[in-house]
Amino acid sequence: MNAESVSRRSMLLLALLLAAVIPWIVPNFYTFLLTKVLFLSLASASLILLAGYGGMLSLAQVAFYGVSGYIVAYLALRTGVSFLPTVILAILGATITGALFAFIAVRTSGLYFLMMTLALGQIAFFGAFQWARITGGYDGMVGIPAPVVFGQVMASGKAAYYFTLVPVLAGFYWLHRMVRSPFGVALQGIRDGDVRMAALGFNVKVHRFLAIVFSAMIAGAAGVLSTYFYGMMSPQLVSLGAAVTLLFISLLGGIARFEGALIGALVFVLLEDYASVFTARYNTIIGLFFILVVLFFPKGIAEIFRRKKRAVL
Amino acid sequence: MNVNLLMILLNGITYAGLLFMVASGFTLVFGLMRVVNLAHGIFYLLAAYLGLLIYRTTGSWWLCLIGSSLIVAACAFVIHSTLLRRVQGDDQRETLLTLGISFVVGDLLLAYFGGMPQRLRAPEMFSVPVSLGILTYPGFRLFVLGIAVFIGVFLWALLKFTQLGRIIRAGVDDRDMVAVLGIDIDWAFVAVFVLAGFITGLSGVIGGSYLVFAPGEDIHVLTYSLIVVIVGGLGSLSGVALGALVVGLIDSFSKTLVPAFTMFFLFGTLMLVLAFRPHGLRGREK
Repeated sequence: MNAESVSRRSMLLLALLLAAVIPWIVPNFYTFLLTKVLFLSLASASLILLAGYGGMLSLAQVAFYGVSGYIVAYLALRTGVSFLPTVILAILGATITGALFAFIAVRTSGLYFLMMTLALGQIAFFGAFQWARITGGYDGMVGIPAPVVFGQVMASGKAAYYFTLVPVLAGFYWLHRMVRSPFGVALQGIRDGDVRMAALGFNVKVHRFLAIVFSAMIAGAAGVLSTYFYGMMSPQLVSLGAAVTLLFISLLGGIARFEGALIGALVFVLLEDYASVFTARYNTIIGLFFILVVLFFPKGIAEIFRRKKRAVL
Repeated sequence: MNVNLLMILLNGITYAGLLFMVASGFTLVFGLMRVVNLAHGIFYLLAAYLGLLIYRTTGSWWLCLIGSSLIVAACAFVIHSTLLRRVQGDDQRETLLTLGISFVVGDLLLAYFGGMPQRLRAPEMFSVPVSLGILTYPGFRLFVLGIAVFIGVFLWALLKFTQLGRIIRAGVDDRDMVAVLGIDIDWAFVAVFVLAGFITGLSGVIGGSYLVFAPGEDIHVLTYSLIVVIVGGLGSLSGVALGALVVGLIDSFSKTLVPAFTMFFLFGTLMLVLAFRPHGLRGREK
């Protein structure tokens, strides 16, 4: 084990320790914001898996996010299904949606794929509006009770934080392992040269299919966390605006690596919080930032630090 | 034929006319520039709102139509030369920029005009019902269909007979080769983007007189444009016409019969088409 990987490891341990104790250090309001950072970063990581590692830029993540969110909302409000089956059904719903979508979408790539994902995202959005009997239409569904895990109600800010932290860490760990597995390496190979990988005997479509399905699964998990966090689900969370937000977070942090998701979500949540204090037009501000990032930092703002580091060495 | 059925059919066909207008600009831009113009919907909405402003000051619908379209075309020019040009050649970043633009402009429109649904008033001469044998039909809708046919013929002639049209057709097939042959393809990019802005501006004012519009309508327009061009085949004018007809009819029938499931029907069609013809009904294998 070389010195660099030792220092990486200790950094990681330090970060984990900090994540574990931070709700006891910062005011409750920041715990609230950090919880938001956590599930947004998981949603963003699902996009990074597809876009950064699979080369498939997607605007459909909100659809998967929405399917699981609506399943949670529906089961929690209209039926007596308990916590664990609710979560399983919700993530299953998102995964199945992902599989159905992937079945068609793997035929396309690049901008065609992007358009397919946009179409799916919009269909989820209008479906949420139009299927009002199930989804509550424009008003959405409000008053979803806090989840009960092992007999404990996850109602307080700290409980919500830990309730979110554990699955998010598990998700990140799974993704981290996935992209280093033979599957993940092949996926990155396909991103860089699908024709060559096909010539080497890899089944390009199956790899893309699985990447979409896994990504839908992660996005679904983020949807579950978000729905419990807000205690509500509405079409707004499935809109193009939400898709742009997610894309913004991923681009901000750098779409090539999972760490980008955390950095992006952190910057976004702070930006949104401060901007919304000063002006009602925070969407304009976010949009302008989005344009600036695309123009000047195509690899994300994390790249600035990386570049500086390289210059020193 | 049943009168109701005929009515639904006519509604579908006239709506298809509007969809054709909206989607033709979108497909031209994609075909040549390889940019998915996600600001397309916002161009439409911008034109409709500009129409509202012009109508309030001048009271002339024709002035709205021309004025808004020209302003939107100018906006398209500015956006192309200040933003898209900087990242030209990188399709994904160009596409993301248009997404950012639509986000900002949409929010500003909401701030200025508020969230109430609005509608433009078409001239009196179009609001007379027209008698078509067994039923009378709103004149404006037939006018929309007429304009759509006119735009279709205009674009067809442009692509078929002019120098710009030849460059566009060649560029859709192989734009690198066109550039290598010494043709100024950058000029064609600008021309197509501005032309698409102009047509989208026209359709914004016409659509804003045909249906109500409100913040969020841009996304509706973008979604329908996407479905139309994916079903029809990207970059193909006849594909847009066919796609618009298919989507218009499905929309009209499902909205009358099973309104809650319009989107599911449209997506179902999309999936069926792509399952059997991955490049759309009129698209070509690249």
